[in-house]
Amino acid sequence: MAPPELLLLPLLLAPLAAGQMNLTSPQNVQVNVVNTNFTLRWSWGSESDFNVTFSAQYQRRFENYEEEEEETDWKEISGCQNVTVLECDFSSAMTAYLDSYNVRIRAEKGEEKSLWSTTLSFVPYSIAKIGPPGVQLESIDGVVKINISPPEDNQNRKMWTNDISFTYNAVFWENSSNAEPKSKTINRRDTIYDLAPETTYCLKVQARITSERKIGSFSPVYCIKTTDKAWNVLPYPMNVEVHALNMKFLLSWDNQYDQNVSFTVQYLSGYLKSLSEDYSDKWITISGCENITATQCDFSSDIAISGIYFLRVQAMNGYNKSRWSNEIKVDPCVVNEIGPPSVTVSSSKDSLRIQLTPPGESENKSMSEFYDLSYRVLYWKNSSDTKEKIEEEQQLLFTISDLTPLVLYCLKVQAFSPAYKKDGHFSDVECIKTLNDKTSPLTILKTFVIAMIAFFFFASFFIFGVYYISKRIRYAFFPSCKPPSNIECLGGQPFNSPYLSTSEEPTENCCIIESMVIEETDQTDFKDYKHSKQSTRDSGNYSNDDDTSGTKVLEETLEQETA
Amino acid sequence: MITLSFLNICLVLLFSTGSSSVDCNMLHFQQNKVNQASLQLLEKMGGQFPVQCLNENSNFISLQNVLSSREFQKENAMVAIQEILQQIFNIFSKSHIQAAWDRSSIVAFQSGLHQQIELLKTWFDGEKKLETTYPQNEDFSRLTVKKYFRVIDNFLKEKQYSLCAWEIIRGEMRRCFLFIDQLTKRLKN
Repeated sequence: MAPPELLLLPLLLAPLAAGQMNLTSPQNVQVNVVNTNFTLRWSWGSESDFNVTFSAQYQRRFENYEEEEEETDWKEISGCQNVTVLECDFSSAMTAYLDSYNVRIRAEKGEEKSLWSTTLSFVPYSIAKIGPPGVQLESIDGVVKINISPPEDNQNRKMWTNDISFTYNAVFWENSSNAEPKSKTINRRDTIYDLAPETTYCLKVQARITSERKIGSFSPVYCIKTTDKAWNVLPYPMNVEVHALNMKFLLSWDNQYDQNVSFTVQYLSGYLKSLSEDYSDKWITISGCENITATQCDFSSDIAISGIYFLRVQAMNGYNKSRWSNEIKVDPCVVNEIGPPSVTVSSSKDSLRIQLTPPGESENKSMSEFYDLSYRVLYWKNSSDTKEKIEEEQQLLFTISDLTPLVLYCLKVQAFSPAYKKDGHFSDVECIKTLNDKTSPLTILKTFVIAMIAFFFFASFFIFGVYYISKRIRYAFFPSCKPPSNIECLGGQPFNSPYLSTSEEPTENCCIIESMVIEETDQTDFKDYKHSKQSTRDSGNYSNDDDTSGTKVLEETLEQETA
Repeated sequence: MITLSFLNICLVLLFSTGSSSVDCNMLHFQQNKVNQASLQLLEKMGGQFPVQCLNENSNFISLQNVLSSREFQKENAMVAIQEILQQIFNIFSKSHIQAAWDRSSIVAFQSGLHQQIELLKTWFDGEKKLETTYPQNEDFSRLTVKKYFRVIDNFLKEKQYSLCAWEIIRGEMRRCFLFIDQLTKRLKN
């Protein structure tokens, strides 16, 4: 009897073989993603047959909490079951646009099923294309205002979750002429100035994420007719410019008015233009520049050094108000000019020493806080028309060496920032003469005399010092007057050098001197000793217990004496 | 054939570093300024971490762990920095932003971030060569950053933009800037 597996085998093979025989699997499977709209496309080599349908499956690959790759089971894509055409929408199946997905598809005809197509893997975000943005135009006072809504505005599902990543590119042209279309990078809310009045302009906009190399599709073309420039009321301030020196910012504009006109200046923080909310009520009037008659305004104290700002001016005459001037963009560190550093020069016979102070330091706004400053010194001989030489240094202290003595040198210094590609203003030209090379005999004599005096002074001081110190040493360690021999016989080292400290107080650790022992052993030989012992008894019968070496020495000297 | 392609690579490298070296210096310089200022402003806008939030659990896997800064090339670092800055800007642009925080610090913070984002955008606009260098690598770091901020976004939503949730995010953003600081070193030529 055959094993059960063999009996089952034909049953399993039958449908498989049948599928392979009659139905080929779909080819060229492609996924097209625009915003959050997913389309699956494929081709099918066999003759078109209305009975053939297609069904697709997907699985999601993702990293789990242990950062391991995991795959879900294959699931059927609801929008792509039994499809009769060669494409289907499967947007609803896609949920995590940053994860990876696998998709496969097969052909079906009744009970027959083809093999699965090759699996297509993709990360939705990586292959997604940007759809067209929404555009609104408004024609007012001779300019065109544009209001752009991002490609997925007001949609719940978003591929592009971060509006700030978009830049918008507007292409516009005069409708009735053959002029080249102009291209301009614009903000979500922007104005196109410098258009001819009463002319129809057409425009289309695309969204881009340039850093991700994603360039969106263009919006439909919109056309609008510009109005006549609103000269009838009051002309708006023209030629608005920003000048800045050492972070002191001045806005200036042309005075083109015959009547008495006053001006108001406003600024806007640039980041507000990147937010979705309307910023038209976020403009702030510069504190000292409201209703001023001057045609310039210092706005240094109103802006911070970081960030981008926009400025605009309005002219007023009684109740008449002009439209706001063209907005001007200010990037403080880019617009600002670096002033001259302050220079102090001193000279020697063959070199110049230049001490610099960074620009703006005197106004408590040192430019070294804002820029990566280096300094460039230009110097030349004043007399000749030799070319100037350049030295560059990051330090504030320069030394120009190898110069000719007794020559008038001139120099000027500028600060510059390599990062911002900015050259500062030059300081005023300073001229200084290098010193004489040969020194006169008088100076030599003077130097000699001074040196001699100094030498004698120090020499006598030294000799006196040595004499004094040796005297003290001799007094301390080798005293000239020796104590009487009977005192010396006590063996007291302290008597030899009174300045040396004794390690222990002699009276503190005492015992009776065994004079009796000595008397018993040899009374005749040590008469003198006994005598001296007895005489010392007046000052005390006690001696150091551990001073045995002392008594030994003492005994030896006594022996010598008696001998 | 091999020598020819090697020559090609050399030429590409030569031209690419030549065309953007100075801009890159500026990016590097300004990025350092932004990092420093942002860390200070994050500190200033909310002050000390509130004691009542110490028990809140966040369990973020820090960005540093997902993206090791050592693996970064210059362009790749630029991509990561840009993405992180944009994501942080996005978080602090939310209308749910913590009302207790110092408003002027938030404005200065956003303003500085925006300026640097715009600068990076213009840099990328000018870098046509990016189309040929390490796109897969870049894609990976960008996606990793996006995923990390998706977690942060979900965390804020789950905690219903509570004070403690915002404070935890503020701390996390400071860690982000320390990571950016490491990446910034890669920008230098």
